[in-house]
Amino acid sequence: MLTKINSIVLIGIEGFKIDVEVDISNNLPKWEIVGLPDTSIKESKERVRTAIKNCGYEIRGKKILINLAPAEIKKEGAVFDLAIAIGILTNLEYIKNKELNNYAFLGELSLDGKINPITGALAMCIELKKLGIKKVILPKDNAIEASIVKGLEVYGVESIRDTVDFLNKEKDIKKTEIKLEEILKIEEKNSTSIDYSEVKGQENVKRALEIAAAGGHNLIMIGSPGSGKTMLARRITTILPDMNFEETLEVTKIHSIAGITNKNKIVLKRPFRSPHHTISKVALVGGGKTAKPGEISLAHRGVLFLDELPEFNKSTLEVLRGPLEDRKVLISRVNANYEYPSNFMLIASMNPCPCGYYGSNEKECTCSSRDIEKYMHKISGPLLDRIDIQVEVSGVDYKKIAKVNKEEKSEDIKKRVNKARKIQEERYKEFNIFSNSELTPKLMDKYCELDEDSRELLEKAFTKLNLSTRAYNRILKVARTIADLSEREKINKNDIAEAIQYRSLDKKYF
Amino acid sequence: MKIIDREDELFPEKLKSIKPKIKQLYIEGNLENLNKFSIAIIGSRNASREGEKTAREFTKELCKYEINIISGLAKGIDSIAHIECLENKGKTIAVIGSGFNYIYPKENYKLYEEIINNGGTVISEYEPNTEPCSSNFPKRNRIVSGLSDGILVIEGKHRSGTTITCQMGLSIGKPVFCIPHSIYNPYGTGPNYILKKGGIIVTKPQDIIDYFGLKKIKKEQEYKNEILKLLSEEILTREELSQKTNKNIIEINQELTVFELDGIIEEIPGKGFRIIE
Repeated sequence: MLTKINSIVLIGIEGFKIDVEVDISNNLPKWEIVGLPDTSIKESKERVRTAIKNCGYEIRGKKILINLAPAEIKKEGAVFDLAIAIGILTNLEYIKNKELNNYAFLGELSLDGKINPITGALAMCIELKKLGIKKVILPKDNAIEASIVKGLEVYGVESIRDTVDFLNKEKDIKKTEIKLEEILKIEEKNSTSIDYSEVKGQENVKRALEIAAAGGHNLIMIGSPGSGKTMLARRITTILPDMNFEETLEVTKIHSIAGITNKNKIVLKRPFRSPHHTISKVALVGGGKTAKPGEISLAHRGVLFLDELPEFNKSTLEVLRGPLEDRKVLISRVNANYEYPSNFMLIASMNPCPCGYYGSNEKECTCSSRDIEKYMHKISGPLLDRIDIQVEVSGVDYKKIAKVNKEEKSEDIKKRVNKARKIQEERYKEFNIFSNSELTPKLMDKYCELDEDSRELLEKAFTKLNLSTRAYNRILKVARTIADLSEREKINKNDIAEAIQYRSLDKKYF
Repeated sequence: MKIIDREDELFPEKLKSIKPKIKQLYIEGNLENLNKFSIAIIGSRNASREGEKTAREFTKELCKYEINIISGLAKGIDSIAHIECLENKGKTIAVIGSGFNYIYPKENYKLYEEIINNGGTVISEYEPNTEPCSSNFPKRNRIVSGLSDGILVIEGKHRSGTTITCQMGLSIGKPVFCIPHSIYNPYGTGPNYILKKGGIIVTKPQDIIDYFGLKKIKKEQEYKNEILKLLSEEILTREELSQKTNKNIIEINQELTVFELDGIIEEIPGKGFRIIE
């Protein structure tokens, strides 16, 4: 007799339906798994057998053949344990449910018949829904994250017994449902209490960060040690626009594949990733023996913060160029290609020179101009060209701080940012992009129209400051965001004038 | 390019007495500069940050008195003196140690063109196809010292081209101004040695002006705009400007761009904005 059970395998973030076919005959006792399984699946034979036995079901003296179809896709991981077990139990008529092809099964078995959580559950469920599956049975610990997929019935189970009883309608398991709002409320209570009002002065940098957050622009801060670059960067999470539902889903999906979701299993806040500068290429862009998303994909829809940019290995930084442009990364293997999205906002910080004090009022710089040139050359032109906003951070004089009036709270900045982002989402809804930073040259022609005055100003800047064409587009995009922040439909001269100020590195001194 | 020999009436009087004799001069650019009051600014090719700063400050100040700046078009202090002089709309003279077809170092070719296009002069005693040769460079130093009315040494090692120029200057009775250095600073050994041999110690541009008793030519300007008025008094950052004018940072940034593009102000990294004089 033959049974067929639905399951799924992930390649990158894309899912492929796998049919777990089980055939049991009264022949010489033997177990066999075929269909390009890797070692972890071959081992599942022993796990499944023991788990079934320990749950009290009799499977001795049979020839069991398991086929994972289609055979050309390489399969790995312990996700198929539950599907194989259910296939065998159905075949042996311990399960009498006739509608099993509506279900998909995911889960790793423990020897006592318990079901252990898996990584990538959300990603699998999103893909299962696309493939037309209506109901999913998976480990209870994964139920919450999976349940945010709309239109999919999710049942969390704890053991093989549970599952068999549920399928035989002898036990009632409620489908898992969650309300995003409730989780949000809990999350907000627990959120860390950092705020821009703690940073005194630095209005210019704060304004630049506000623009960056609103338009999703990449930003680099240049300043001496102790001028507050890291402090300013860490607080950007407090003013980033809220994620919409699609974004939440996308981000949680990647985090679930990487197996780093938090307690609630759902990522509701934009991620902020700050890898150390010793990070390897693979850890940054993804890959590895069993391909995993790297930091740039974990920062998808959020912020990748690279502190002390020139300290990073040069070749490590260069691999960022592609993903920064394409907003996705493709990792090629002999057996498969893995594609991970990487639409992140890059925030970087650096010192103006190796000793760190060039231009500082505190200390005299001891670097020769050659040293500084060498230091700047560590960051390639093409990479810098992809950073829309370059802003200088100078140390704040403590005597002056006392006089400064009250600082604006993150909450208030965020309100403006959210408004500006809404405008952008509305404007670009038919192009599948969310922010000004993603504008293509063609869309820029359409949405960044300039009047006579602003065109004149920009042309003057172009010749006077020796701007490249990329820099020209960069200024236009930033000006577009500035106009959105003040809720204006057309870019005006003042927006351009302000945008031109955010290009410190283009100046010849650096 | 013009070629003038010793008999030519344009041949600078100052150069007639120096030895070994100069047979002829190849000249590009403005010929009149050669007979004007000028100061040579010299120093090492491998300049320190402080050295560069000193060269800039002195050049800028001397330009206000319409003094021509002479140097050797080399890397380091030489280039800085030429560039700063051009930026302050002064006239500068570059004395090169190779032929015009072999501008050395190559990176300075653009600077060479800029000097000529901005009313400056480039001269050489070698015919255009002379390749750069290390033995020719000390020789051109006698033209640098001969053509100038005073020599300013920023920094340099003892027994370098810099000290050669200074000694030549001293031997023909030109004042040599030296920036004093610590005795442990390797780049200070040159100027310190010259000081012992009869150099004149200077610590600010005004010292040179006072030595010659010169008068300032350009006048300070009056500004109506609030930002410009503040900047004409001191260098200020965006945040400081915003505080002093009670305008928000956005307005400040907008105004700064306009002034910057009009060439009235410039930004110094880490410090803020200043008026370009």
